[in-house]
Amino acid sequence: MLGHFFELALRSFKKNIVLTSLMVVAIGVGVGASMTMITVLHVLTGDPLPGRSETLFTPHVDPLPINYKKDPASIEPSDLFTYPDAMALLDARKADRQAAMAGASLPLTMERAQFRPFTVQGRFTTSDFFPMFGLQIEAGQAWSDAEDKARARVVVLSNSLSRKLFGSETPVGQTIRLSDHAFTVIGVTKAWAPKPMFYADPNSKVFGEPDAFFLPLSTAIDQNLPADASFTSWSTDPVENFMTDARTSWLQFWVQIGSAEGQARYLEFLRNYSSEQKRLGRFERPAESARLYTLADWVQHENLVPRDVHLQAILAVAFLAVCITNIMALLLTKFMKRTGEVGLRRALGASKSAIMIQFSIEALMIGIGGGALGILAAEFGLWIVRQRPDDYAKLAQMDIEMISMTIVLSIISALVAGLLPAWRISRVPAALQLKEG
Amino acid sequence: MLMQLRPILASLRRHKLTTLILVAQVALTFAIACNVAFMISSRAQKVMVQTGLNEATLTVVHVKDLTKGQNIRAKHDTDLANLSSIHGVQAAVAVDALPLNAFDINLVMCTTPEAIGRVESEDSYAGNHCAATSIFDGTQGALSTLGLDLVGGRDFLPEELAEVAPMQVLPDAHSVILPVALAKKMFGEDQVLGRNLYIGIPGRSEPLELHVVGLVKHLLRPQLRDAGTNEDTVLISGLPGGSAVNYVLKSSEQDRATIARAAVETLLHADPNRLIPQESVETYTELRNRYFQRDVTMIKLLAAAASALFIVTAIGIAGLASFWVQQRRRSIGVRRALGSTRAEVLQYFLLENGVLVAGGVLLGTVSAWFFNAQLMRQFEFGSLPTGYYFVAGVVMLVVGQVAAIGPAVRASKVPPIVATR
Repeated sequence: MLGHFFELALRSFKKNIVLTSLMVVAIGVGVGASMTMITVLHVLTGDPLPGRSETLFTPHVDPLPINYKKDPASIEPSDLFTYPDAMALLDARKADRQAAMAGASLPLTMERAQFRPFTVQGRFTTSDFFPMFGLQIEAGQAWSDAEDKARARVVVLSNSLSRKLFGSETPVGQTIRLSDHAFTVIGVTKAWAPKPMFYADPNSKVFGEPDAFFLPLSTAIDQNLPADASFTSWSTDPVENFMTDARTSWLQFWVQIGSAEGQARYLEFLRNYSSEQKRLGRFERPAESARLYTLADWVQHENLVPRDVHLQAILAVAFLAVCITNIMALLLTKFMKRTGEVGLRRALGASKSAIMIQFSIEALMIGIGGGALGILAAEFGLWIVRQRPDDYAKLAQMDIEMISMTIVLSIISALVAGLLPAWRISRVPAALQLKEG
Repeated sequence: MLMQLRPILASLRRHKLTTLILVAQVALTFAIACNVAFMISSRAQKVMVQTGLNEATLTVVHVKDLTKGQNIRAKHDTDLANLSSIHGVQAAVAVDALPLNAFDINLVMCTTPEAIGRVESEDSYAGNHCAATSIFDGTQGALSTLGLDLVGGRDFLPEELAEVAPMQVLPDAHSVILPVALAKKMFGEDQVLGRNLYIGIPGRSEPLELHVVGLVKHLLRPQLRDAGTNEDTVLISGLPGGSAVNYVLKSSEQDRATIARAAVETLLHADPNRLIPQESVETYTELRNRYFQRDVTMIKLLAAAASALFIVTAIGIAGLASFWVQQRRRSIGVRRALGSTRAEVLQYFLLENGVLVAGGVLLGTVSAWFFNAQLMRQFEFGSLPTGYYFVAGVVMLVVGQVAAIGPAVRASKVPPIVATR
């Protein structure tokens, strides 16, 4: 029976090729446009560290004075850490793992003839950064707590920077100069590039180039290396050193906690810390302002995914809705042309549901055709997106999940569009149509 | 013509479902189109903002010196002398900030020193004659090289230009040049030249006193903020003091590309121990395009979406109109046999289409308003001005008529003889 319906549908398509192609094109374009935007959104809202994200949190304590005037145009200063707070949380070791960090963009030079200096982007951080975020070491090793304490002049390179500088030579043991300070390379990481770079300063390019080097935060402060961070100071006195000032925030702090009880305990710890600081007169805000963001909450809180992308996705869905109503009107037209045929079939004993199924199958086939075209349209749309210079643009790629979603979306669209017309045609009374025909 | 409305409405009532779907589609298209048009125009306004510079003549080279402990002023002088000798360069200056280059030093500036404290405690600039002001500096001749349009007062005198003291954000400078918009905000309609302004500087107890010596037509911020505050800027009589600086070269428009390449060579030849990243050697036009690149992406995307929408809707209208014409061939024949002219039949179908689309637009006005309200809640989105409803409505009607014209013409060609079949 179903096979027969498919055959009937094909025959009907052949009878009215122009109208059928119009419908297939309409679905294809609508679904293609929607899927282009949904794919961009999907890529940007994906899990930055699959399998690990659920255990990662960023604490929040609020050292701002009560009467601090927030500037809505810039970052909320308490979303960044002051150096003393970050060090206190680091030394407390209340989480399974914890690390403080900040971005840096430093000129790299080498004592080598003909070497043209260039700027590299990387991170100042503490030893837990590597195991906590799951960075794998390709050669040598990362540094340990001891090097953090000793302010060792060591650096870990990404494998791409290592290859760029040393080619096939062993990088471990070599010396590079960052911001005119010598550092010994002790390790090389495997490729590691979470999207977005949730652990970076929210004002930085979180879909940009991955970190090319890592060096101890203590060393950076010791050597007074410039951090590329959103320094905000609420100090009323002259500040000697913004990096270590208790009233200047600029750092990120992340912790890894495996269990739910651990999270509750950590939040408790943050509140105790805040009330203790309040007692000491450093904090002015209530201890309840301390909180623990999950990675997902943080990404949302800081709007790390560009707002435009959300707007585009909404627009694309609205566009699809117009396409669906359009096809609905066209299908209704197409079906109603065949009232004579339906009247005959009804008179010969076809049930209403049989008619409805028959016409739904016709809609379904349009959906499948539209889906195939939709994949092409979406691939084309994504190609256009990738040509744009925005930092996230080159990530716009369809995976299997998105391709199957394209097909499913267009079949659903076609069925939704076909439902009303199919219902309408199934109500065609038998006798009347025979008389008229 | 109105006489025809009654039969049209009667026939539409007989095809309730089809009519409804079409009206819904027109409404949805209209609602989206209104909002998209508004998005396009607000972004286009942002992208077309005036910087105050003579953009087409400028090339920018960003240089970071790596050698520590140099005499920065002497270094800039040597570099500028070298750059000026490049063939085609008419003038060269060094600046820290430029409109839209994102290097923004933003400080509170008021007309009295007391107001600075008030702004900080009251959380409001309004009423205090204060503004969060972006500061520009530059070497001698910056004003004319950048092409700023001096409409009152004078440029800085060479002896006014001060250096930045170590560990300071600003030079101890005493003269400023303002754009007209900020002058109005600060002093209203009063005389501006010769007045004083005060800037609060973090880590300093006394605000810096500044003397207004000139007025320029426009000067835009390095990094845009809220609408209406983007010309809260001053050019201060200070010299750039950091190890990183922007050299700005003035030349004819077509020379800019060659000059940019020559400038990099000249600078690296004079001192190889410096960073000149390739992406920060550009014409000012490129710098500007880079700043607005996301907005331009959005404008293109929105325009594409809006045109696709109209096309899809036009296809729907045409499909339906052609079905109705086919269905009513016999009735058309009867009308023709009873004396209707071709023009009358044509008019009938166009009017029918007009009624349908107008219904859709009416319903769409409500949806557009609702859609706009949702967008205002979720995004930084303004209220949709009434003009957009009218314009989009007219466009929608025209699109409808164009889509229906083919089938309507076909209807008008139905011969009266059909009535007898």
